[in-house]
Amino acid sequence: MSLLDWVVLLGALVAIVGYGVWKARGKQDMARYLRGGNQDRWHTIGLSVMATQASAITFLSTPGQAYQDGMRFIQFYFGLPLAMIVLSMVFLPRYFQLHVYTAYEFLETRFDRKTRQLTAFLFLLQRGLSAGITIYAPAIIVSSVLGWPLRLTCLGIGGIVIGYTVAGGARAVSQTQKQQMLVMLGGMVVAFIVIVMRLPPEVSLGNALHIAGTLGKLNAVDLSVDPSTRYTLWSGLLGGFFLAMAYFGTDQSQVQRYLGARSIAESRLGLLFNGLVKIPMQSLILFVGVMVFVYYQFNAPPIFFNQSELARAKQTPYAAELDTLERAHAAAFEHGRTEIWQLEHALLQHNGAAIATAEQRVRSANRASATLREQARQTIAQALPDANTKDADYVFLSFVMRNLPRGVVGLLLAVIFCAAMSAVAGELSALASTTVVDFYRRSLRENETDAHYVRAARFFTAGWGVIAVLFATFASLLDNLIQAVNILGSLFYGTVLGIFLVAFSAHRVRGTAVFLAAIAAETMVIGIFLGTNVSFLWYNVIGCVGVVLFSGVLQVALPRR
Amino acid sequence: MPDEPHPVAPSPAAAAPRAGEAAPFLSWTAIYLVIALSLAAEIAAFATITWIYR
Repeated sequence: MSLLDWVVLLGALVAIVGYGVWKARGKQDMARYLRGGNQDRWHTIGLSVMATQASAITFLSTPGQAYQDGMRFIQFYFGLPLAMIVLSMVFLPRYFQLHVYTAYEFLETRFDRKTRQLTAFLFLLQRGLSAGITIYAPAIIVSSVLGWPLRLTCLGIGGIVIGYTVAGGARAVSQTQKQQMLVMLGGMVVAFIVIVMRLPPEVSLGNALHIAGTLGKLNAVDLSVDPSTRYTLWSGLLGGFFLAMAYFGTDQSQVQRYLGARSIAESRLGLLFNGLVKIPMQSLILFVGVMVFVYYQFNAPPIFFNQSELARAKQTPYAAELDTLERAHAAAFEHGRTEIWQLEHALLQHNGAAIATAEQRVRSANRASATLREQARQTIAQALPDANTKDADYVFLSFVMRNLPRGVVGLLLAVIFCAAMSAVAGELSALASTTVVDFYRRSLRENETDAHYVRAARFFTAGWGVIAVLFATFASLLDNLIQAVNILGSLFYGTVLGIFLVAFSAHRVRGTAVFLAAIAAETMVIGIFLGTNVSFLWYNVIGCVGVVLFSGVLQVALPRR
Repeated sequence: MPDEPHPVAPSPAAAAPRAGEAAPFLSWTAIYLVIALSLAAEIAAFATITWIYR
């Protein structure tokens, strides 16, 4: 990394954190520390909500996913704008009427304490574990590509976030997130422009799209009704709708962001801004990955983007096999490049028959290269059973480090660090507010002063931060646990959303019925997860509908007091 | 444990935002319609691109 890259990276991070802490200065009370003092305008809310959702993995993995699998992941977000509308109409008015600090407070008003604390506990369990992964996942990629020590990278990200979140609370979080999101958006726009400019001068953007489309990278909409196909129009619209409802409507890391608005109107506009901008933003990130793919049709890609794992594998008896595969891959690339140029010339001449012939040859050459890359991946997995062979995560950062100019590299690293820090800060602040409001103040110390609860919130923010950093630092020893945590989130969201929907719409249903219904629905979702291959997006629908139906039946069946 | 609603004391009203404010421009219904129509346009655009390069 050049000096200019370091200046851009550190300058962006220090300026943003400094600005956030400065904006949050002054005496803290509970309303200010946990809800930002209700000072935020709609643009802060909107950017803050987006920054909480956008982790570093969004910017590292999503372009790689598009590189390998095309644009189909965009369908995952199709339900989100509709969810923003429903949340604005139904959820927001109730939260604002009750002036709650957490979403779960509302559940005690509507049902009882056990339902409130069950839901809050599920949030703490899921979000508390995933905060560690939010730090670890980008740290492992960045440290591998840049050669930085992994634990120091985890400590660096975690330490800075803990510092400003403890100091400034929710206000510091939202103010830094606003700036961080602007850096993320600006960085990806710059990345897209630079990548397009790095294509050969003869290749127009239109022809680049044609090449990407020919090789199956613009397959954005899948009309399949197979429930085991992960991303389809239907799973995106329906499953994505329920997932977005659950995440933005009931997950305290998001609810806390829009509860900090000046008014319900500002809060609504912030959520709707998210609904309007999210799909274009994700399209841009995926499109960056597609353009990286086109770039590597004209410039030789490595057979395996995670170069440190490749180098490690070459220290084993599999070195000769990997060398052979690399030579075959280089030859396949040269053949493919010749075919791509044939297609480019046919496109320039608008020769329909030549275009069709060249397209067939390009597809065939691309399949040959893909087969060799897969063979290399399998060889590395055999050589190093502990190796991370999910190469898609390394495509974008590897491309940035090899091909982008000085200064832009620093900017894109700032994007990745901003994303990591904004997501972790939102999580820590929400974990602390739920711990203090739903457990500490509710069940342990009910009648303390405001200052006491602010001190407790600072303590719990730091405590959750330390847990997250410790988890991230030792996560490499716990690969199976990481997978379990990732699965955990999608298993619980539907059930939690079901509890909230019953609270909002089924006025006759009481606490015990919904509590038992939630346990029954969750058991059903876990059974489906263990016994079938239904795509995870459908768990949100099944869990939610399960709670609504079971609670209705149980309310009738249970004896009245 | 009682299966009855247990009201939570609201947070200080002074710090609370005003509920039920009107939209600063257009009506809420019109804004919701803009969001829904933009989603429909995005899906149509992606479906068209998919169809062109099928």
